Amino acid sequence: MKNGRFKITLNDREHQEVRVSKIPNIELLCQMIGLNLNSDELQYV
Amino acid sequence: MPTGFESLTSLGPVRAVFEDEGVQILPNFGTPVPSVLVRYHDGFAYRVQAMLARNRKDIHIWRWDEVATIESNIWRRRGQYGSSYAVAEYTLTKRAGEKVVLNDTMKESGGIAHIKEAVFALLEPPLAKRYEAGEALTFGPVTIHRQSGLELDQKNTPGTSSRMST
Repeated sequence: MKNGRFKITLNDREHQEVRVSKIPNIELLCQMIGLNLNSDELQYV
Repeated sequence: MPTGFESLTSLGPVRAVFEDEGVQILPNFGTPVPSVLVRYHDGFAYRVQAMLARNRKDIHIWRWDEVATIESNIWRRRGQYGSSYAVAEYTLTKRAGEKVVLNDTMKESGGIAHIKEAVFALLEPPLAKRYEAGEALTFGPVTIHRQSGLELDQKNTPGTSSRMST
């Protein structure tokens, strides 16, 4: 997660991203997958 | 304590009171934005425009266990002379579909940090149980599964993009 974007890398090395504002309960999502959420990174830049 | 809120004993003791720091001249016809919000032990209550609230019906009550989702939209807005500042907007949705927006018109966006803490404390345990049991969980465009990992649905989601790594 960086600059308000949730980024993932697929098995074929393709990168995908989505704005965190589109993800409800983003904090819970991060908690589920063991991702440390820096609240500063919620801000879209 | 704002008028009308003192009698809401079903939500437990009062924790904090937030009031709109500006003056709302034009009525808001979209998702409601509170001008007064009182946080209690078991939820919060708000009123959109105090001057229009003549009876208790104008106070909307949200218990923590009624909240299904919280979306956080934070971005930078350009100010004068090249400066910029952060703007925050949090959309809360009840299981029944009702929405409310908490934003910077109130200090600390109506105490959003405490609201998130209370809501997520209730939502997390059952979600964790389902996730551990191997169930796929969906957070908007993102689906997570303990075995198969993450999946991002970009078909119907504005604001998504895809690119190949270099």
